[in-house]
Amino acid sequence: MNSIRVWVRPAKRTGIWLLALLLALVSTVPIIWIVLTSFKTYVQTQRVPPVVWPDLHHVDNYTSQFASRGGTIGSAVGPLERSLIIATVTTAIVLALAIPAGYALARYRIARKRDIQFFIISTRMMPMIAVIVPLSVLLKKLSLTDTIPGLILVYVGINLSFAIWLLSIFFQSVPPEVEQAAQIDGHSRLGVLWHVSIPLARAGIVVVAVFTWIFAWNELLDALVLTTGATETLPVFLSKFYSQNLLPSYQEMAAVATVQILPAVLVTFLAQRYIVTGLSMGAVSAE
Amino acid sequence: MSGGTTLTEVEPEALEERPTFRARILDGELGGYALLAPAFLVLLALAIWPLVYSIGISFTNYELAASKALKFVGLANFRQLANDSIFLGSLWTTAKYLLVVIPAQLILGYVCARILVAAYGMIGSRFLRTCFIVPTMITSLAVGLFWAYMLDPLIGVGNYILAELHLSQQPWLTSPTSAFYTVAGIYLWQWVPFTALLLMAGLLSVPAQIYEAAAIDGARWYHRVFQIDIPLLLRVGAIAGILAVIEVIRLFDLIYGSTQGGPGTATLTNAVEIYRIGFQNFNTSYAAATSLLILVATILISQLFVRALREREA
Repeated sequence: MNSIRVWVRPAKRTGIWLLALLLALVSTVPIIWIVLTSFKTYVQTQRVPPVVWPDLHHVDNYTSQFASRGGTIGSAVGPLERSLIIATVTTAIVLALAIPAGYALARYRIARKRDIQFFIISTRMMPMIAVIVPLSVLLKKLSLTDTIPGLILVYVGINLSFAIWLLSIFFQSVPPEVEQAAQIDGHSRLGVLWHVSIPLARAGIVVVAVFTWIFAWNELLDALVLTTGATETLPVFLSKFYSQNLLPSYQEMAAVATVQILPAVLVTFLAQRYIVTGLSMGAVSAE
Repeated sequence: MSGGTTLTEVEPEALEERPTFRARILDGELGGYALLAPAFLVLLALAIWPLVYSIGISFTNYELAASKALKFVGLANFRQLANDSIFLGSLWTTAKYLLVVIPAQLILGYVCARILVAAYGMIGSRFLRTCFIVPTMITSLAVGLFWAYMLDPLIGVGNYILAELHLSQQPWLTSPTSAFYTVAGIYLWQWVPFTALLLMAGLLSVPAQIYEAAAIDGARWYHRVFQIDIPLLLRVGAIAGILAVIEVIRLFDLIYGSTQGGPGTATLTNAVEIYRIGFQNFNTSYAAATSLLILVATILISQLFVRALREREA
């Protein structure tokens, strides 16, 4: 690609760079606006022309929402803790199940492998709204309604197919010669998986971990249906700012939204390399 | 995984002489099945069982919250569905979103992808690309909530900017027609970056020689778009299309955070309507029947994309 780039004249290059900058600004300015709003007072949120740069020492919206007593709709501390636990445990379980399964699809001889792959992909095509009703019945039968394990179970089910699919692609891209060499050196097949294949496919593992974690951290519909009060997650807590706002407290909503958004933004920047390769690899090699 | 560490401690010679039970299962022919089984069973329980169950309860009068006697009601739920003007309206709303949003998402995604490819490798381009993708990574609920604030007709920054530019004020989310398109716009703000990244990956995998050859032949930009990019992007484009269809069909969080289906039923997509039927009115069996319809529709629409893909490749 770069060979053509050299020919492009500097003025044109600057223009292209400015267009890329414009795309980045369109995406980030609304988010920055919300972060700024979280530092405003109620009066400042209502003012026209809008207050652009509030006093960043004004952290009342954070201290009121994240204090143990909380604001008008309760404390966000419990939901925050639960969302962190749910996202992290979900990610760990998905990896524990998907790494062996992805490896098996990539490296073992399995009867009807294509049918199994098709089955795994087809579970991903299901819109959540189509299975949430029976899932809520399933959890009720297992007495897991309104529990953290119940929600984790559902999140594992949703993320597993994508994880297996992506990891099998990454395991396939590990050169078989390397694995053979390790086997000759005396590793068992599982030893090869643990000591050779997993380290070499770690980009795929990071991608799966990042996407699973962010999914579980962001998810609303299932959490809305499957949790209440003592088990509600941060998105469910945040959603209450819609219905309870006879006198909209946008500044408090912005504070909770900022805390909700922040980890996803951080992860996106920390794992930027993996996110783009993960997305593109998944798409380009998809059947 | 922990099995791997213990197995490597076994001497290879010892393994050959008298394979342990674990080694037989995990190293031998059955190994693949042993590794696959846990994930497979979880998927079966959490994806296939609910589906079958859903079909079952859609023929009954089941209600999650009530404890009345379960009764087989035949096709009653489906008959009710055929006469439910709100539900049918919500289907139409989702269909309209598909028609408006999918072409816009693919075209805008392509334009953005071209910009990203042109800027690929420039100073800071990776950082700009990461900034660009951020909306896709954050929860749609927050996206709905904060856009609703920014587009508040009275105190929102959106109308303030329009006023400064001497443009007419917009009702945004407060009038039915404009609410429909405003939600579509917010959706595109969040999801065009995702489509653009997929298409960018597709464009980057096109061999540079093709463009060089075209340049030597004196190809104009529209030749490049219609005769190189589009034919070669068909595969990635179809995948981006399927993912976009799924995303529009499950359009829920964004609307829950911004309009909750209003004003009236202008933005009442069927995901929101099924949620209302199943979990606000607690009509579980009817919700199961309606969601089956959505599932069948999703499968049919994605099959259209898959077919188009196969025909081109054949």
